[in-house]
Amino acid sequence: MKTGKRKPFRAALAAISAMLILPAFAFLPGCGGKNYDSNNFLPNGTEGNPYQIVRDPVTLKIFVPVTPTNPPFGNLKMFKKLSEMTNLKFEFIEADLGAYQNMRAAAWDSGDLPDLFLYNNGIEEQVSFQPFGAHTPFNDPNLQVEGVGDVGSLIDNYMPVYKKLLDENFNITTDEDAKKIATLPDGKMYSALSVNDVPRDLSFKMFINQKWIDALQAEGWDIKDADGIKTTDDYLAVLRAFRDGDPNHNGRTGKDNNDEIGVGAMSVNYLRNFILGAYGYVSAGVEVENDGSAMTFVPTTDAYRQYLKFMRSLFGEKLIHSDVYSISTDAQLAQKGMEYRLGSFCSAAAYLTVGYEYESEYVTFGPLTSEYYAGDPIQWRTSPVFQPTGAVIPSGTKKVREAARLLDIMYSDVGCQLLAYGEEGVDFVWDDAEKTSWTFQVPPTWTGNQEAYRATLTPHPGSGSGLYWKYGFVGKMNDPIITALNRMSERYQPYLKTPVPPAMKMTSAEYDEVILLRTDIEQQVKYWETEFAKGSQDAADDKDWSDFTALMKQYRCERFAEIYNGAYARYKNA
Amino acid sequence: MVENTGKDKVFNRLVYAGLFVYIFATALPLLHVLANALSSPEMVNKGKVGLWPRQLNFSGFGQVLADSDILRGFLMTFVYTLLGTLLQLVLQFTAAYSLSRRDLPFKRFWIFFFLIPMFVSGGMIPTYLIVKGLRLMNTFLAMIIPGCVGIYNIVIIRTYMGTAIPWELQEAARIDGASNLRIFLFIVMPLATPILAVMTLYGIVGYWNSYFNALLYLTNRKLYPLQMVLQKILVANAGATVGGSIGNSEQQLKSESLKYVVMVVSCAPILFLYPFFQRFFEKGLMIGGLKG
Amino acid sequence: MRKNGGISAEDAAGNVRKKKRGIKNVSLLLIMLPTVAYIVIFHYLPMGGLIIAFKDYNSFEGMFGSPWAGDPLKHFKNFVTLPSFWPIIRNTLVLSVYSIAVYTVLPIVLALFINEVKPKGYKKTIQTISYAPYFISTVVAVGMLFTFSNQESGIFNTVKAFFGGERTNVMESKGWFSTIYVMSGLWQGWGWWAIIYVGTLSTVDPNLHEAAVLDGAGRLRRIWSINIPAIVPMALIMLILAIGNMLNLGFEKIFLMQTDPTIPVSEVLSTYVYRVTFMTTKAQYSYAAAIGLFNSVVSMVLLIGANFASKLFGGTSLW
Repeated sequence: MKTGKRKPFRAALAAISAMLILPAFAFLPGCGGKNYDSNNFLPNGTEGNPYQIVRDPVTLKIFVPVTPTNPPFGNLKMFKKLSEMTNLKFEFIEADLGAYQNMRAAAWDSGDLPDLFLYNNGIEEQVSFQPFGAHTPFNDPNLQVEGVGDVGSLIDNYMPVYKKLLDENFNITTDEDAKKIATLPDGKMYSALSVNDVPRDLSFKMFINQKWIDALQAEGWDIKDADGIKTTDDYLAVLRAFRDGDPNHNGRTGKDNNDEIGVGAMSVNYLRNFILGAYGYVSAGVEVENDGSAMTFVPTTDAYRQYLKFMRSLFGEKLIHSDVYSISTDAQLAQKGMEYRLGSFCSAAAYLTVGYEYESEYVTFGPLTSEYYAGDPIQWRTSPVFQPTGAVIPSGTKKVREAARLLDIMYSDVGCQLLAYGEEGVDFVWDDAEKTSWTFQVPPTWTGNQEAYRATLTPHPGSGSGLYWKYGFVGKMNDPIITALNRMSERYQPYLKTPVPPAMKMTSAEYDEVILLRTDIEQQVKYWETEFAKGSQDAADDKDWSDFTALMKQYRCERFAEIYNGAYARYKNA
Repeated sequence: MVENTGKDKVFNRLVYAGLFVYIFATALPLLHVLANALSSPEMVNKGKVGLWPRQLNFSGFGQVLADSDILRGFLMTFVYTLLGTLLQLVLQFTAAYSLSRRDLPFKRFWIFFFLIPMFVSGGMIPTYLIVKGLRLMNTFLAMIIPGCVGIYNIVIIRTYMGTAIPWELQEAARIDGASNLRIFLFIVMPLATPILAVMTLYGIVGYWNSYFNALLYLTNRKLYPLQMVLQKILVANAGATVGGSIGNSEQQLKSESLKYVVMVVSCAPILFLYPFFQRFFEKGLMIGGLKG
Repeated sequence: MRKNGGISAEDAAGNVRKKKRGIKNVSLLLIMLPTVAYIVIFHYLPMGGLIIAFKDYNSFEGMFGSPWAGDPLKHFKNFVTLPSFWPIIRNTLVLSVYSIAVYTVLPIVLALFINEVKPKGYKKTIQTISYAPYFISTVVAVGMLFTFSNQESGIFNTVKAFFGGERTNVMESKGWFSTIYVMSGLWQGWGWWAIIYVGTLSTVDPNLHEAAVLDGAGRLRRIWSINIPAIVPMALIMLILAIGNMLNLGFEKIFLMQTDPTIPVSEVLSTYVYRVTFMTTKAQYSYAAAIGLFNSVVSMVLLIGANFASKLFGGTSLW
């Protein structure tokens, strides 16, 4: 009697079950066995178009990192233009940096691989996959690719621009060796380099208000100009003057006026590296000695003890804002900067911290030395010029030559321009015939900011992705503030030090062990620094200090340094 | 019904006084968020905004709402929330109902079957591979199916069904010859309106705020939910200094205030759901009372 | 199949009861089949991935192809012998126990209060405001904590200084960390967590109250002997689940709240795992899986223990 009514429920139930169970049967590996025509590839382009890579369009699958700043890569001017030039089509697998490691691991794990991993390729992956031949070497003269045949050295045969740049070390004055950095211990290069020689990106900058110094000098304070601040004592004298005087002329003088702040920082990041530089190291981890003899775990050194004493002076004498450890964003520090209260601070650019109103008063200074360390001044190099992270080609693909030629174009002048500011004559225009400077062309209809417009042209904004971010081009931008920033950054160039030699490579097991040790040790170092700086521990006190070093040993800092030294010895002997 | 006596009046005053203090303490920070969203970026950045907007300013809202993707984001999120919540409710309530029955075969096995995944998780990569294997990547189902069953919720619903719904009602229906599905739909579910309302609210809020699935499983921006779009606006306006790209000061200035604007835009639509759901808490056993 | 799917009129008409029950039970299984399928696919299948806890996983060889770790328990040993292992466990438990204590009782109290409010307008307003903070994102909520507690301009210190106190920065204080964590969480979740109890309270049969009034019971008395017993089973289940989840403190909020001076009390399991897997250049998947498995085992033990205790005292049981 009620059966008729019941049926729909049963049907609905069946439908729901089916909806969930059926997809399980679709669980089959995807297979894309398309034919590859080896003769479609053009090694030297065509007569009319040297950039052309394939006769008939071929799709290249590229795995890329994205941030929310980037529009879909297929819409970027850079790749549209490259597609036009080369006749390649691009299909992008875009992995958000928030989920990047997982998506990349899943791509390898499932075997569903692209033809090219562009940007963000960790050296650790290259080292740990090296035994499996997972990546195509760029410099193997005997390279065979299944279905293509004898390919030979990709760099020699298909990457003339890159080869020349490598041979000339990219014409960059640096002690870093591009080839060494790109090469693994087995002599092969599994990655194309990511290169950045723009001074403002290579170090952070310490800014100080020269106008304040001028004002105080005029009042009779015996302090040095920004350029004259050479030692920690010079610096302390200026900071004390900032605190006691009234350089911002708001009528509030004296020690406890809660007004001028000698040095501003967020959680002492960067500031730590800057001050440590005055004592002979530039990082609070494991670092190579200045004479290159060995690597040292810095926090247990006497130099670090001196650094802690200096930090104690900053806190004890109220030369730094008391909430430094609870400030964690640029914007929070900028709150103080925009109030015109910061005497000195570390930042990527002064205007980010103090706004355009006071930007021009701040100039860079340093690096410093101290009574303890009187050697050559050193400054932390934030990022190496060459990194083996630019691009890798997974071994499964047949389109290695296509990928290699595409990469080569990206290293050429036109490639660097497309990456930086778009197309010549359209997105940027040379100001003079000698091409000494150019102006970025943001359409008048664009309502957002300049950087957001640039994000429609290139993948660079947001993640800093790129193969070659070239000072030779980027540095010629017609923008007074950026130009000044580059000029002010140049003062650090001769003193830059990378804590760990960029060409040094560990083994896969060493990387794993180091990561566990570092994750643990770093936190302890950061915490104990606050105890010493705030005065609950005293670095001048031998007992406090030996307690600290003993604790570090408990956290296996010696093993930590030992691993680095092992790798460093192999690197030196190579 | 229940009369108010003199003693009750004192009691009432105490209740209202307590709630007043509580509401006051809860609302002040909310006002702070709202005031920040409505103030000029400068004031926000200087930390000068308290409980009242300073230099009233709608530019943040203008910027967020003028974003080309925001409408689609709202629409997609609406679709995900609607379909996802429906699916979630069906899956949770059916399972909870069976589990609530004392005569479920192998009951103990099933309880553990459901409890174990609450504590044991295979991790992100295997799940990712499953989603990929099911061909859900870049489909709107990727925003609906993964994570649509909350085992925690199932346990709560089961507890509710086991304690608040008289077993005798089901027993009686069974003797009358009703099938399990009928008992579930026509006897248990009407009595479960309060928990249904709670779970609907949980479901809606969960899907409305979901973000990580989009990060992992979607690369087609047309499918992006609201939260992804808002995230994009936030990041694009942070004065971030990553790699060689240095933002500018205006961006930096805006980033603080935009945080609050985005906050308000993303939660205002669901904030006012509650009064709507509240009516279901009124009825509850009333229906059951009548039936029983 | 079809016959088993539901009971037909003939079966109901007068067959042996035993047989009937058998058929009905199968349909119970069918009703939950879709959910079971879901759980198998999205929860049990991925658990296969836990095998990497005993391996040296690399994504090239895959979860099943990667070599076994020389010592299969290597990753577990690495974790347990970590110098900060005990501090991490201790911090996790302190924050959890503190949270559970506060979050179990207070939402019930709020629900009882709200239940006493009769005018609908008031009730709606109170509840809407009370659950609104739940929607404040963690980033903004923690940002507000930093703003309010700022040593120079924060409202806490302004009030404190007004009364002659000394300005301090509580976000940098080890002693205050857990309290700030728990109380800000309470602010966000209080009203939200009360919803389930408000829902449960609405099922209390009004007849019970009327009968109690006739017996001369005052409101407190009725709350005590009618409303609270109605909530207890649900509250107990929530408590048991919370105890089982003790190690699974969400990472985001703690991570954002952590400042260098509070590291010794704020580093918990989830923040540690996040640091090891996401903040490194080489994600330690095997190690993270081992920690996850360790976590699961401890959680299960805690859950079974809590459930046992609940049963022992005559309360609800999960099974």
